[in-house]
Amino acid sequence: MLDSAQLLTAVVFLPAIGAVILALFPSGDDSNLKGTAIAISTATFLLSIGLWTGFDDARAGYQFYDSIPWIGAFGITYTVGIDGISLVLILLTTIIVPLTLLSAWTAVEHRTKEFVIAVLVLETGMLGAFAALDLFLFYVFWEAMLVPMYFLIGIWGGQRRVYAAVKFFIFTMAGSLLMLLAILFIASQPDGTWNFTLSQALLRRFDPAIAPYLFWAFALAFAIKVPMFPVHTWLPDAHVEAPTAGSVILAGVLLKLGVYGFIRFAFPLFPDAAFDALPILGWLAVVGIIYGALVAWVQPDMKKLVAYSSVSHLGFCMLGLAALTIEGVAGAIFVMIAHGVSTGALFLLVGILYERRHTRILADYGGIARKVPIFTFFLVMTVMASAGLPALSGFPGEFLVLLGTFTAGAPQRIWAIAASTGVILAAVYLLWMVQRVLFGPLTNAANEKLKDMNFREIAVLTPLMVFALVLGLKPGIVLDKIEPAVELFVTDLHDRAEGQSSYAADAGRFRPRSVPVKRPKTNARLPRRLPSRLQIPANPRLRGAPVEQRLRAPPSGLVLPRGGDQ
Amino acid sequence: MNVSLSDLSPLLGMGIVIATAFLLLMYEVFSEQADRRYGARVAAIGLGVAMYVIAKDIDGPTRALFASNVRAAPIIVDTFARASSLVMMAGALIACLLSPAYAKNHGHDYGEYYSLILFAVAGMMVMVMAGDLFTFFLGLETMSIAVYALTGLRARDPRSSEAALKYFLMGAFATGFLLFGIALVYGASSTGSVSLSDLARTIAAGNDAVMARPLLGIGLVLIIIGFAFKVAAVPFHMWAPDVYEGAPTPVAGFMAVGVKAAAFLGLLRIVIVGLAAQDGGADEMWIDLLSVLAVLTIVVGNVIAIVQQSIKRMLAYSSVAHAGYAMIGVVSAALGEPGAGRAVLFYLTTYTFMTLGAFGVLTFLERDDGGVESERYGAYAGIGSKHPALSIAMVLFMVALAGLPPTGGFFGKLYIFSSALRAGETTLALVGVFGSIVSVYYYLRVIVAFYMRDVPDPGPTPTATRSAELTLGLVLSAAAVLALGIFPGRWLQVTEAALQSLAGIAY
Repeated sequence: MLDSAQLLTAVVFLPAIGAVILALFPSGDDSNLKGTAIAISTATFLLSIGLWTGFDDARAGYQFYDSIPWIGAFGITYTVGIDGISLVLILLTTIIVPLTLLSAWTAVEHRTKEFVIAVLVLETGMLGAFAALDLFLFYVFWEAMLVPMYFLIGIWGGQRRVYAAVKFFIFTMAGSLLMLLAILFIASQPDGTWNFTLSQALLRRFDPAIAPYLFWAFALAFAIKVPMFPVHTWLPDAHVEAPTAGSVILAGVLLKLGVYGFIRFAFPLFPDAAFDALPILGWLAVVGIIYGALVAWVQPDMKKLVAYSSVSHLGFCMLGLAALTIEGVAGAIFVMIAHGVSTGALFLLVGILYERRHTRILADYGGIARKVPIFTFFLVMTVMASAGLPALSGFPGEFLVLLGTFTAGAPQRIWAIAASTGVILAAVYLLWMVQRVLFGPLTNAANEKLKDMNFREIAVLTPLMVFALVLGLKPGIVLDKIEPAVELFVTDLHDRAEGQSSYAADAGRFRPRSVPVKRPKTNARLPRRLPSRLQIPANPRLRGAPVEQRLRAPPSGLVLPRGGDQ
Repeated sequence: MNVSLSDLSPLLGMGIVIATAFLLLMYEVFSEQADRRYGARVAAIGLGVAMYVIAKDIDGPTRALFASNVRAAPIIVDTFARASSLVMMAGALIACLLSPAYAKNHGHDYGEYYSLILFAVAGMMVMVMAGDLFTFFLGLETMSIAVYALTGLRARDPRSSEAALKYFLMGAFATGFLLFGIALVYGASSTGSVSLSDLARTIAAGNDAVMARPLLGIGLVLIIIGFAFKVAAVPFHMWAPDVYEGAPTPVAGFMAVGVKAAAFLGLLRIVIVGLAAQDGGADEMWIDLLSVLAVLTIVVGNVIAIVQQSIKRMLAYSSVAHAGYAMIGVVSAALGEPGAGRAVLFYLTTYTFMTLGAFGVLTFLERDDGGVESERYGAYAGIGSKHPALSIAMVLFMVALAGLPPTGGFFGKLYIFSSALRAGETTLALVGVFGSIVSVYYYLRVIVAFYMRDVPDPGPTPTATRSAELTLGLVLSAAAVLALGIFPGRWLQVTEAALQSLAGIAY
């Protein structure tokens, strides 16, 4: 059996190994490719369940931790490990990918081999980025996602696919190269050596004159990926031109890497600069929520509508992050999962219509509910989940974000109030879409013979619907996993920035309230307070020590490398 | 001075290269009906054996030739010289492997072809072993003359003749600059010598004779200009696209990597051994000049590459831009950053493989359309599904040139930029990064052409030339690009040892 450290590595690389095997399949015979690819990604999912069950919910630090030297001369290691936040995102990835491949069963007919290889390589890139705890390794996985996604859009996309693919590539690359410079800056140690491990980077303190530049180099890369207003312009193009499978992966997982990057890297590495940036991030998030919703409202194209709704929803993630309360951050992560499920399903449903009628224009439909009752059921359900109806997946996350933002302080209260209009607008544009597509009189004769969903399509969407329902009814499934990590993230950040940041200094308003994360009553496993070893600073020796000294001590929850690379 | 044969043993590798060149030349002279099919293989085997001989001894001690003292030796064989030779020989080896396919496609069949490549390699090896400026100059000329001839081999093709003439005139011009620069440096030297160690000593001692410092400063600037011609740095790059387009494709690839690598690595030795002791006086104009050239080269090379309609011309401008990245490394090395020299050596290694790989793919697909090679992007539509393996290799080379992980191109750029940051040249690093962002566009265009364009009606499809040598060359390049990106450890050690050996003889 694999030991726990190797399990994570196996999950990350299984899709890539599968891609290599598929590449060796004889060309010309495409019949087994999709089946094999689905089997590989399903196996990855089954392995990742091992991560879920083997995960200790009470611990905030990294689990399944593994660190081996890679490029010694540069202090580059292969270091992976996951906390609750990475865990749920990894599970989201391993669930979305097989469903995506299944959805493309008939949609992708040419160059099948390249298609399945691209999707599997992409999966390894995403999983690796969620698992990496070494800056170099993270960058490698981060960039490794770029090429397959570029191919997915550029080869199997629509009319303007080349434009969309190149735009996607260059936007992302522009952000990430600046991040690379910042990574080099961080990894270059004062004594002339190199160390790319995250744990070492977290111990360093940077000149306050330089830290903001480094922070924004990271923030720009992640903001482009999220995408935050105003660097979101690549997203509608990419989504509209991408094939359904590409859109689902893009919206379902890829965008989350931006938010994840903020949580894992940009914020913890530069706490002071992050605090200074919070107002900007918060306002941009609010603008993104409202702007995305308004633009989605006027889209004649269904896919563009869903694309802009992503801008709006991801705005909620960034808002929760900018509030920097435990509820806000937990909500942000919950929104990521919920958005992955519901928007993934929305893109699949749009794709199902497109496959039949080859149009995504809202006006070409209308009154098709009676022709396609199963489709109607799924679309209505997905839209409800996406719009944040209570008891479905969209609700808990957005609620927590708004709650966390509202309780964070006075300026944040304005954000929360402004953002709540986004919730209403989401209901407006989504329901309007439903009404225009499904209900009313059947005006377009071409829709008379519209076929309802077949068994395969139902099989793709049913799991997503189940998740939407389960996440809505029992949000604790996700929240329990992420809570210790979120609490550590927020308290550690406040602690390290204490007395350093002008914001933290001028008022206690950014201090997290002691409102505990809403948790299902049945859950008795977690103590009310975190176990003492997670308290920060954990090292009793350092309690009451000068801030500077405390900052040098590793936050206790973070598992430091076992090896001697320190 | 008595020189016994055993003193020459460090030059065994170079001896094998030269012997192979003469073997091929003599075969051409003495055989009745020359069957030239084996030329590429003989040359490749000769290079392979020579590389093995050098690689076996790569960490060996520093050996001075024709002198008792390493500081006075005209030829120094150290780890740096061995590692650099390996890079250039690898470039020549792959160029030789690419050539038979080109020869078959174009009826380009000349007996002296492989000998000229090998002579050029010998010249390059002298350049990186040179302990004084005259030896450097001798190596440079040996290399240049061989390459002039290679460029013009297709004498009946007007474009090839144009390329050869252009390259020759420009090269002569550059030589003039270089030689005059060396003369001025000689004049400024207090000891009346052009050995690099003496140069370093002169600078360290601070020769306060009237005119010494300005002479030195101007001399170095002229040397840099001569060098800038050779590596096609902006604004001395005008010849490059025309020459690359006119020269046989494998030769263009060889020029883009071998000549450039030799010029850079030779300069690196001059900078680290001869000029390291500079103290920030007026004679350091050349560093500023080099920085400006680096910025110009990156900006102009990348921007002009965007608008090219021919893949070969695009690759020419891309190689201009890559010279700019390497110059960032040289500037950082000149500023005393110890990692920078290693970065340049590593970068040129990856650059050799990814550029030759790209030229190799072009060689594979090139055809004669009524005498005109079609290198336009549009001509490559549909290759992606027609030649899957070849296209994946092209994607790999483009991605590597653009500097994405997990390829050697990424690691090379990372190394260069990190040394620039450490040397305090943040601006240069930023320019390099922005250049890389721009470059993504035109490298992607190749992938777009291969994969994403609709195939025009049956039309003429590029006929691929099957050639075992070419396949081997492409596989070697691709494997090296990947290996340098994923497991660069061993070569990083070599570059470190190489630069340590240089530091060991520096004043």
